[in-house]
Amino acid sequence: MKRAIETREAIAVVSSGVRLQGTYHRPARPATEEKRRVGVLFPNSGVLPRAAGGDAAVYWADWLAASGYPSFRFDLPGLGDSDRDPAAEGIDFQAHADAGGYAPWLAAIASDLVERFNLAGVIVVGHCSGAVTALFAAAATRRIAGLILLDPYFHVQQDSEVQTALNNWNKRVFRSLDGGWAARLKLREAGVKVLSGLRKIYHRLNGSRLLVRRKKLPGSANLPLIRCWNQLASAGVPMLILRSPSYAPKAGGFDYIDYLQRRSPRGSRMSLEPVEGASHAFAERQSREAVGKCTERWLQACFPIPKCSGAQDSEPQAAEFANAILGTDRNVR
Amino acid sequence: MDLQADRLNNPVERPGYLEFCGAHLYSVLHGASDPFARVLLAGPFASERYFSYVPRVRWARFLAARGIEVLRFDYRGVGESTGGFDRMSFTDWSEDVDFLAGWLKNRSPHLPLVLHGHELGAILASKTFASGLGDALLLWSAPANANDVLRRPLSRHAFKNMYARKSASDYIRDLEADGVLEVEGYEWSHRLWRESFTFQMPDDTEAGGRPVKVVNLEGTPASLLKGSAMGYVVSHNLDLSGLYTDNLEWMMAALPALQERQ
Repeated sequence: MKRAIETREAIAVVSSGVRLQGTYHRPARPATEEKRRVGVLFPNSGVLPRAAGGDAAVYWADWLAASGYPSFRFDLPGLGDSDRDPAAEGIDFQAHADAGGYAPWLAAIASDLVERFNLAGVIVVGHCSGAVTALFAAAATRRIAGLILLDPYFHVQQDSEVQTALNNWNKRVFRSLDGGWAARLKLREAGVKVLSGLRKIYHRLNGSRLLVRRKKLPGSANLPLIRCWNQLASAGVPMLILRSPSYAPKAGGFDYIDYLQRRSPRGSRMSLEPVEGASHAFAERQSREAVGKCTERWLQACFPIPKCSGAQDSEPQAAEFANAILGTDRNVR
Repeated sequence: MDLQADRLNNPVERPGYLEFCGAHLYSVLHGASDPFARVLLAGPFASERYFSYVPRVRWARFLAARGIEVLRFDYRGVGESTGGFDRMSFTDWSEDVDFLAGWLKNRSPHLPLVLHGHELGAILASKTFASGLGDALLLWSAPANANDVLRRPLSRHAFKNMYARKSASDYIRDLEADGVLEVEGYEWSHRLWRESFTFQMPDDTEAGGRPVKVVNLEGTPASLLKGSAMGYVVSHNLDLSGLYTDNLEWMMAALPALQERQ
């Protein structure tokens, strides 16, 4: 059994006696001795293993490595191949993630990678609760030089009663439809149509509520997380937010991104890009490609790969792009 | 049962890659000092892999802590393994299981080898077992054929995209017409779909007297290993210690070599 193949290597970071398993995607272009580049680090998307839904994280890591960025995917404690047993420790994943409980581990991984691979820093690509962990971790270590956040959320998870009731009803119907495929085909199709109609009514009613641009945070806001955001925005840490339509602000809901953008100090380097047609998982081929392109373009603008001495600057537009999307000079922190 | 202690007592956990048919199979060998048996874990279909991943890791650690060496892996084109999913077939994944069972057996031919299959892995492990490899066979949630395996993600796909107003049968028609259908990030080929109808469990008679245990997980806490109807991991903290213990006891009783050790 080989630990490494041409493009990938199974690597581990040991922190506080806990072995954290990861995969290193080797960059296509070799590093130069004198000029260091940034690496890209993907923690878990929720509780999924480090490959993420539809193996999307593998796709993105391959993509960025081919563009010259060393890329790493890691399992946090109790997830994927890493150590720890959350069942024995009684850890509730969601509450732990929302409270920043995984951030010290992510910060430890980032520090280890910077040292081991002689990197200029690490850009963390966090998805959903991975984005929450990324924000907490970036506030704790300067080794994390930038963030790419896919569908981040800034509230403490709590279900809307109506949505929960509808989902539970959906699940019950779905369960009764699941199994006995051929015999129940017609019943299932009828069920899907009824549910489609119900969902449409729900969303139409929901959408008729007024869109209020509130100035105050709702009671469910994750205040420590918002403090981390403010800290990073003030420090000028570059952040790219990629948002699927399912996470776009809904009428009657609170738009955290808009709120944070409006309150961000001058010099903050945050940009938002919607990913049309994507589901929250970003697993479909089209949305995987869109995320790959956005991420690569943003990295080349904010963290260009140092060129060997004598090499021609083939992408002079990168600096202009950085200024356009960030509104600032990219060399200023 | 302290699974963290299981892990720390067995520090020999080696992830790596095994080359096969031009691809690299990501495998994790859960070593045991002085092992007295080996188990190959064949997991579920690609999109179902995530729901039971952590419980599968815990099961491997549980066995390794008790002197049974375990190899688990990702099929070609799935998860950490290389290869294009869209080019794969059930026959290819069956070859993966054959190859890894042979690899594990060759590490120490005198030790008994147990093949353990879960969901799609149950069909694959059964086929390898029917070919004569393995000393015992353990199956969790064995489907009748591979088409049964594809139905669940396909139903989820239709449900999640209900705004498209298409039923699962509409998607099947699309697949047969276009030759490809993307389901939860995996591109199913028409060939995979057609093959699923005929790719089924072999006859019981092919066991040749070797021990076989079939466990139906429905109605038990382990039924949550298939994820929710909406396609989410149901519980991160699933306690399956009862299932693990029962299955280990069966292994110990089933194999004469293990009985001696017992």
